[in-house]
Amino acid sequence: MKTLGRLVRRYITAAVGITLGILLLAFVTMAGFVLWWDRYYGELNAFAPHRIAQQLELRDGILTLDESEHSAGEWLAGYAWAMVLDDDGNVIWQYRLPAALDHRYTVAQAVVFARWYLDDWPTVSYICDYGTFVVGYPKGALVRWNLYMERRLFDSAVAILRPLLAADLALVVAICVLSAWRMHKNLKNVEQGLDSLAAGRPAVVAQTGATAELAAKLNKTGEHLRRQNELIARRDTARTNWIAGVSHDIRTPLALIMGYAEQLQGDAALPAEQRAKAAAIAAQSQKIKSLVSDLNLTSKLQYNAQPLRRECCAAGPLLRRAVADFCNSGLAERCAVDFDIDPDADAAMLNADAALLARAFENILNNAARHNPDGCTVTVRAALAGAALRVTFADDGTGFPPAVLAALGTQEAGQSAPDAPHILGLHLVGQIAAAHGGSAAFSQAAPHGAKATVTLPLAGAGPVDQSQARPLR
Amino acid sequence: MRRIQDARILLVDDNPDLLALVGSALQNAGYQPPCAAQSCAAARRAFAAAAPDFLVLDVNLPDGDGFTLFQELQARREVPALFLSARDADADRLFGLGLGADDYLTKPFLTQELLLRMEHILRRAYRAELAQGGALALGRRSVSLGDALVTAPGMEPLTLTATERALLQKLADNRGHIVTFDALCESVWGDGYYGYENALNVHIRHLREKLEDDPSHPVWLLTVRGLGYKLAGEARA
Repeated sequence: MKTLGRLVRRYITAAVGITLGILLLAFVTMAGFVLWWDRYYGELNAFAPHRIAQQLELRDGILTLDESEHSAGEWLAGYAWAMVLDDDGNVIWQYRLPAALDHRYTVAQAVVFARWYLDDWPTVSYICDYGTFVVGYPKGALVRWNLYMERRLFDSAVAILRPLLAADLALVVAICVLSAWRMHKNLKNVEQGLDSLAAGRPAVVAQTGATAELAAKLNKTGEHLRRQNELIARRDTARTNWIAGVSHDIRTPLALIMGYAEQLQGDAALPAEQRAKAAAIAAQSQKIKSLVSDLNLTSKLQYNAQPLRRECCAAGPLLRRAVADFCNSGLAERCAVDFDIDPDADAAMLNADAALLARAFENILNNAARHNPDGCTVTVRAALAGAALRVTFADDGTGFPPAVLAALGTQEAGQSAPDAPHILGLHLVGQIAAAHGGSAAFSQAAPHGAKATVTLPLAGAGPVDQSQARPLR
Repeated sequence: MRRIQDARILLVDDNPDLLALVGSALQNAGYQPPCAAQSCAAARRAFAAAAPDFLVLDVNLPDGDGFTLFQELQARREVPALFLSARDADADRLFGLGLGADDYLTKPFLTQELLLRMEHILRRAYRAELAQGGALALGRRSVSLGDALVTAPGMEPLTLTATERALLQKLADNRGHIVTFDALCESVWGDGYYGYENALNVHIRHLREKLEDDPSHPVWLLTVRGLGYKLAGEARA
């Protein structure tokens, strides 16, 4: 409705503007024409008849034109002739009066030439002190007509003018509203088409009205996008399936490598050096296992192939379980964990895929253990921050290398440069947080060490403010 | 079965190398040589012949799938089972566990982890039989979980309450590992355990009075701040 209102306003403004513009143009044109004509008329007739009549005076009983200022020819320039009739119709003064006109005039003749012509000469009469001053223009120089109207008709016309103007105005507004409505209807179709495209749905817009061409182009674009999306979806599915297939096929051989390496590592009959090598094989195999697992999951999350099994769960038990699992694993031998959770946060409910969140927490804790071989203390704090749960993992180890920190802030999975640091595990943390409507931020801890902050919206709350941290895809 | 290691185990996997690996790991851990099968048909025959106490099943098998095989074998006789598969999708894990399997472990795996999981499942499944043959050793004290009795030389036997026994059972099942407050409460009071945290502290204190020489400075039933409790491993004894 906002758009319709704007369109109506614009149409009416345009109509008023066009009307005023045309009137102004007409006025200016007319004024220019009149000025031009006046200039032309002024050159033709230097003086108006009443001005000439004022120059007549009686000298010795004879009516004479005063030529002290201008000559008779100058006074009457542009006129064909002139005469003065006394009250009896006799010519008592004349200037270049044709002989055929030099006679006594009856009242009837005077009435006729006063309204029309005198023998085809257009005339203008002026009552002066000595009678009637008449000037004749050259034949064909003037067109004369007389206007008159019955009074009642004139009054009626004036009376009807106001409602007529109001009706005209109403008609203009109605036409504007109708035009605006039709345009709005067409634009609405186009808008719906654009909304469909934005939502990734095919756009089919009726190609009618003023927006027919626009609709046709929109439909063409929609079809093009649909084909592109299909191609991308097929490619993404193929990529996800390929990664899933490879990660599946690599699992059994890796299990054998890990298993035998473990056995050799624990075989007391072997020399210490051989057992150390077996331990290294086992450790590296474990790393490959994590990488394969992370790669598979990050690929699925990136292409929305990992459905989230969300359910309401309390934050406290979830975090305690994740931290306890880490403490119970072999990696925790090198790490001490200090866990603290606010009572409010402990009871807070999350609408989350518990297994995925546990995976995110595990990745952060494992990262701390793996990158601090000399040991460290990981402090895990959980507290509420508005309508979100904020979990901070800070260790007192060596911290993130600057390249890793820079990559965590800017890199997207699958778009890393060949020489970029490998941050798949932490990248997955960001992806899992983002999939829950939250975010993950990574920084250096004070005075030293690495810090990861995961912010998750509580059940029933909207996504967290992404401006506080950069989420990863 | 007096010891966990006496359990007869049936391994089903199409990869003979993996069967050999798990078999040798089990034998190294003191288990009897397990029965091994590389197909569903072989597994059915072995199940009938060996009457195993525990099943380790792969999902992808040449003549069928592990899920169907599990259902068939369970229909004959209910036996605790663990799926060991390269299929790591949540849907597969949930389906396997939903069928009634006790655990689902994805490849690659640590053999130690596999052995621990098997041990926990066997301990839970054959608790009654195992209780007759063994007691929980906590230094000079010995706890018979079956009888809920704590005994020590020169000391009157102490009886555990039902709650104390359930808590100790949970801790013993996970001996050497942290058990969270939530897991302990749930094991005693079920899903709706909220509000029982203080009661848990009271029961733990009572347990320490029965298990520890100096309950104020426990050496067996340890508190892990913020997380839960841990029953110290047998090495302490």
